[in-house]
Amino acid sequence: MKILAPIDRFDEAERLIQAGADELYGGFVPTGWKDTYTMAGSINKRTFQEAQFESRSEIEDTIRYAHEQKASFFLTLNNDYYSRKQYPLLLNEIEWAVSAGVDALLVADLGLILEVKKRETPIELHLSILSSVMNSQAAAFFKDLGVQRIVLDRTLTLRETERIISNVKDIQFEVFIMYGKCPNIEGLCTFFHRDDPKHVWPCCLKYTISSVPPNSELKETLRAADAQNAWCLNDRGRACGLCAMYDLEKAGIYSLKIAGRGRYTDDKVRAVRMVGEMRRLLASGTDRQGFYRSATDLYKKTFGKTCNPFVCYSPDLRGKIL
Amino acid sequence: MVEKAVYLSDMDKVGNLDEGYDRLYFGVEFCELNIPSFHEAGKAFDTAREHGMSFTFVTPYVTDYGIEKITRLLDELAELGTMEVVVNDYGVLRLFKEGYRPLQPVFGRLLTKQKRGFGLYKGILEYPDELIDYFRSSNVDNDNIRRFLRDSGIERVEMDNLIHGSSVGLEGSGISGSLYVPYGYISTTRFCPWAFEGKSWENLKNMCKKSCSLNVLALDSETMAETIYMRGNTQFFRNDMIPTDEHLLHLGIDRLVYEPDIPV
Repeated sequence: MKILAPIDRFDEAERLIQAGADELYGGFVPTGWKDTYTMAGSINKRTFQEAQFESRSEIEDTIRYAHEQKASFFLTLNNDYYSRKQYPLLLNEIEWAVSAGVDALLVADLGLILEVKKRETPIELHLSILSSVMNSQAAAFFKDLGVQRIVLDRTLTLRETERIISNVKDIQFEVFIMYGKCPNIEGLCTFFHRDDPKHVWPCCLKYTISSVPPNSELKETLRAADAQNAWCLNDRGRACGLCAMYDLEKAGIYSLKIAGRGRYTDDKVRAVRMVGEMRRLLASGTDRQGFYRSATDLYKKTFGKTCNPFVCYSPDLRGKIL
Repeated sequence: MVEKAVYLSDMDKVGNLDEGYDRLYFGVEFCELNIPSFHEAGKAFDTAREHGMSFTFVTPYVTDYGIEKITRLLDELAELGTMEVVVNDYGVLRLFKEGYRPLQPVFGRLLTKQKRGFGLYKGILEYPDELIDYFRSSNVDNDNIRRFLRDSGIERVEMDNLIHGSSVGLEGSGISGSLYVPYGYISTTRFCPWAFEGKSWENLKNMCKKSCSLNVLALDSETMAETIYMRGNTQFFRNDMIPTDEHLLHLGIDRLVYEPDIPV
């Protein structure tokens, strides 16, 4: 399995690749785009500058270095849709990406996928998690359209993931393995992540919760309110799916994705090292329970506390760890 | 002429169907555990007919578990007669390649991309006009998507009544629009707060007691200009400013879908 890491600056490339990343992904908001739509209307979903390269030339340097190191670079153009007015700028960006040697575009907009195919643009398309592929038929739908890789929805259980991979052949599948676990289904979430410098999104605000109609406070309602608010109390930025790597490899996952565009370089490198360490353990032929134990130990050693269901990418494994 | 439809997720409500609607929407959009049985769907279909109403069956986003249920249902529903099926998952849409001739697929509001959450914030008018224009548009404005829809036999798209307004113009495209009122969906999760309790989705299939039907949560925050309503695993806004029929027809929207209750 490959390790796919986020990158926002050229000077991160060496550390990430040396730590074990085989693939890098990042984004860039062109000046003309930023002038018109501001960062709140980013070309690639991330609405803050820390998650963006500063210039095309910096990405070109990153691609050159990555290729020298036998690594790949993918460009994110993953808005769930683009308007008619945005298309000329968007197509200009794709034309540059092809000439710069970008290895794949990370896309979600069906209109854009159809446009790239219509133009026979010579570049791989990787389907973003924002397209919410949750079943075999949906995977086959996008395979029919010509995408080369699908990032599966992060809420799928291991069994659901295994089933899709076994049903849909001759296409690469990727899953999230570290950081950034959204409480909602990301591709079906239309909350606006505004350009807030504190990066507090609507899904993790602390809400005042009441029942409708008022005073219908059944115990089920109170419990649901507590469960809803629990998301803002947990550091989902430290989400982890290391335990699942044992089964993901057997299932045939091609690439393990680390979330975290815009995070500190040390955070990114730490995640790559963690996934890399578990990948080496897997290659050594460890048994399943030994692997699970090593993964949970590594999490505790790294973050100073045990994992919990809110940060776990594979809650279906939790009862199986002895 | 704007068609008036009523959308019900609860079988109990179908038995007390109000007059004054042209069409009944029945089914669920957000939870594969709540997909109606064929018996329930058939009963809703018959009730609509008895009231002289057309019928639309609504399907949710699904895993392979839901795909199996919907595949069986479509086989059975196709035997009943002509009806629309609202599709909210590309996997379900792909099933229509197999046929299901009396069933007319409709592009559901989970596939119609709109920036629903933008209008919930305070101070959105401070953003530039070009950005607000973008947030009022949709993927169904795109010519490639319109061609894809027509090629897929889809003649209708479902939309929400955005708080910050919509600029989607379908007139003359060969595709009609439906507008859901007063509730628009914002976001949905598989970690249903009514059922999650740290359990995995696999376990929920057997454990869910469907307590989402008991009542609704209202979520308020100083950051937001609007109350967020949560039923089961999905969050909604409420917008009571319903455009006039004249305005709707100008946008190519010829159906209003009334939600007396927040859907499941």
